[in-house]
Amino acid sequence: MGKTVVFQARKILTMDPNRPIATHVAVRERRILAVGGPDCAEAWGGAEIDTRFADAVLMPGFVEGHAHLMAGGMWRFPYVGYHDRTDPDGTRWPGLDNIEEVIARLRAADAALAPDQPLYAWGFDPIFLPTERLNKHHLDAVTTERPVVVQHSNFHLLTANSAALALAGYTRETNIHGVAKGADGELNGELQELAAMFPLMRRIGVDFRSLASNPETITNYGKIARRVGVTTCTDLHAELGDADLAVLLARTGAEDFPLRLVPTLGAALMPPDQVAPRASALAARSTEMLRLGAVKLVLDGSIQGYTARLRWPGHINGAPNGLWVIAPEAADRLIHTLHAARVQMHIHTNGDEASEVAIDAIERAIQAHGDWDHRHTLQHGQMIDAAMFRRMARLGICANLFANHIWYFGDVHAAKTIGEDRAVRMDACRSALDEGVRMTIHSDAPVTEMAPLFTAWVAVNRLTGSGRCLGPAQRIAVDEALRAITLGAAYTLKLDGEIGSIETGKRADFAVLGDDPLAVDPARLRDLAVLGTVSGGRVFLT
Amino acid sequence: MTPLPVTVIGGYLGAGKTSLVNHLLRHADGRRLLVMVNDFGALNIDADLIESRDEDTITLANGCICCGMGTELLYAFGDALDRRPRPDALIIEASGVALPDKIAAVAQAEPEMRYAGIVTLADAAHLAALLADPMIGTQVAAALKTADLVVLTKGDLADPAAARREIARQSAAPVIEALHGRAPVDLLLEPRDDASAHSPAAARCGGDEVVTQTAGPLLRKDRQDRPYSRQCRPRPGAQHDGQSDGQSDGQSGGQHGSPEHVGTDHSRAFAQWSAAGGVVDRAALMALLAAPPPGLFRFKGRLRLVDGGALEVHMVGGLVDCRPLAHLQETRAVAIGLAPLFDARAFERHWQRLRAASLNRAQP
Repeated sequence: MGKTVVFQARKILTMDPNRPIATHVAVRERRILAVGGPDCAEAWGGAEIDTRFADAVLMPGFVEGHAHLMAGGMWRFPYVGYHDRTDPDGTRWPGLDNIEEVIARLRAADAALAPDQPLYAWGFDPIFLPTERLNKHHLDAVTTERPVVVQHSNFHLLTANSAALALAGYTRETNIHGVAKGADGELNGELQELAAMFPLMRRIGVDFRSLASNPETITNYGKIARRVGVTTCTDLHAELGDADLAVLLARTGAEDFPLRLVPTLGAALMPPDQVAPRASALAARSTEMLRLGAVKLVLDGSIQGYTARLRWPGHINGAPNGLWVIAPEAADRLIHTLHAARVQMHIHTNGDEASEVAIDAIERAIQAHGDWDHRHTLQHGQMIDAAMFRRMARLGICANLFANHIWYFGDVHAAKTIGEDRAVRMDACRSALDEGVRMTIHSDAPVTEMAPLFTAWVAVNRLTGSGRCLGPAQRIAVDEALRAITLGAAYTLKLDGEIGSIETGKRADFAVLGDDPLAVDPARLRDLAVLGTVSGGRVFLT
Repeated sequence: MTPLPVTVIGGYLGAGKTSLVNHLLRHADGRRLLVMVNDFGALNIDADLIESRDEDTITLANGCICCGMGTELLYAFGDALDRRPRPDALIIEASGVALPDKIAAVAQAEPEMRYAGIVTLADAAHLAALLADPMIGTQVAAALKTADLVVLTKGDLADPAAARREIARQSAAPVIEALHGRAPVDLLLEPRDDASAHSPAAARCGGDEVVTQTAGPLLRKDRQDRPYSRQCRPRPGAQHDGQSDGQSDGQSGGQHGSPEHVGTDHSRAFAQWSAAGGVVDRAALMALLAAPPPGLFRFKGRLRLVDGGALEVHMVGGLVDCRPLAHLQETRAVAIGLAPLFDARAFERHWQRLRAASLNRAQP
């Protein structure tokens, strides 16, 4: 029998209705043995008391139900975004709100880089910079000696300096869609969409695929998670080839790795008939810290990119409806096949038409192949209305809503994409809960920063970047938001029997907080300090 | 390294993309094709053609390789470029709702690739319903609109004339008909390097060789080398001018090069012209390709220039790719045109004028 440790805390929010509040939790063999007061382990033979958390508040380790491993790979490159971001080692990179600051940060990165290396930076967002649009001259001011490439935050655009444009073979004579030119007919440095970016990305050797199979990326992902209290995290669209899998198994199995990783297999990356067998084969490789077997499908694009599939009345600016990534009838067949094979699906649907196609398909699959504890989850589901939530509740479909969008893009959605009437009911957490849908909320890191308490803050306050409350009727209470980022997310990953609450038998996964989230002002929830995590009884303070 | 020509095959589910891929692999005609498909499992390649296969790649005895995309599209492009030896051509089968021009744009941007055309398949039996479908109609239309060539399939199951009218509303691309994916490979892919080697100046229309007035030895090409010309269903009325087709809409009226004019019988679906020798003037050639003669679909030339340089020129569907060559022994050029619009003899006359212009410029 293993050693027992009792962690003493100022307060423990357990999410277990049988004992909602405690001060001590006993841990043995990576699991929770008992919860209560100082004597909670007495019946089990007693234990030494660890007082490190005596001034801290413990919660169940947070669960991020929609993020990408790529978030751990970006930090080998400098960040030049508008919003503050924290790197895996804890350095806070202040947001940059003018081009001079962007140039200054790039110059610093240039000075630190070996001579033959290209300078690649990420996270830039021109819509937040009211000054002149970033162009090649700004980046030539950084250096003309090496290629400089600034990737925009949406990953659909980049701005390059003259050396980078030359590397791609682009000149004044180039007449290729997406290779932008200024009024003078000269290249202005902006490359739009993947085709125009491809030659340059290939030549500077930035390949996001290779990031995923890199042990350093996985290590950094663990560090990012630890800093924000996350002990279980998805990688919601993974290739999971044998080489990747070997690295993932080795890294997540290491004693110093603090994160349970849940990669889901990208269904589009293989022939439809191979998805279910591959998912089943992966499920058999699962370990305690690497959970495999679920599948990701992508039906449509993004609302802010005007590529989400919307129902009537469509986009407020008259833009045409968005694009299916997979034909609805092909999605229907795939959903049917995977449901029949009892493979859990996480289905990306941003627009309401896409959500409806997914719900219809799951309903038909259930009629044909019966109901099982499928927990298929609509990911993002930003435009799901109350009627759709009612159908989802009846069918057992979960929702993982993109709450962070309210803060990052809420103003844009109200003004430019879907308009006020539908923006106030975007990411409708209140409706989901009221209609009985199992739900969670997410960051989609690296699209927005992983930080469940921030995501909870958005769901509770629904403030946009401009400071207005967008859809007060859809706000949820703090305890509901805390449940969403713990048990709620665990349920969508079929891990609610193991994690998501602090009760006997579950994994000893805790978020270590500086204060009590139920006691602080809900408007300050995002500012609450996270001191680290406990993963399987192992302490990882930051 | 030689640029990799990229052909994108578009079209909605069930339009016959897989059949076309199978057909291409069987009739690669000496080209080492790399074909990337969505649904690897759906391919039906005769066992006797397969040299080896593993989980996601089939290697054919004829040198072709077929593999699943297996990754995001852009990475697939990178993998294709990294493959050694480099294939003669890359064929990408787009997904049913993909926008083929977005995919083909990579080939335009990447210096190591060359745009070799978008071929979109349309199922005659279902096209009208698909275009009217509020969910996928716009994406089906976009794949037609951006095509350089539309291949109409399943014409045996439905009225091809009605489908042609639907296509003409969406796209200016020429339309050919093919059953079971048996479209002429010479239209879908760039001409082979030796395509002009058979004759210094001969023009062939389908299987019938047309002798032009240029002197030089002629090699007869046997019509039996085009097996698909016998497998395709001739469309009634295709042997003569398509005007008799009875198309009535104003969409194509008054335009030359109407897509309605091209028949199904592949002995008449396209015509080929080729030439060798001589020097040409770059500006005159560009002027010719900028306003191509009716029916000209592809042009490939390795050309010695009047000023002493050399140029490799490819044109497909009006898009011209032009790159300097370090050295070149002899000019060779091939043109592929859609019958009956394309007149190989007329093109020969264009070519002769081009060369005459060069001579004039060389000797002012």
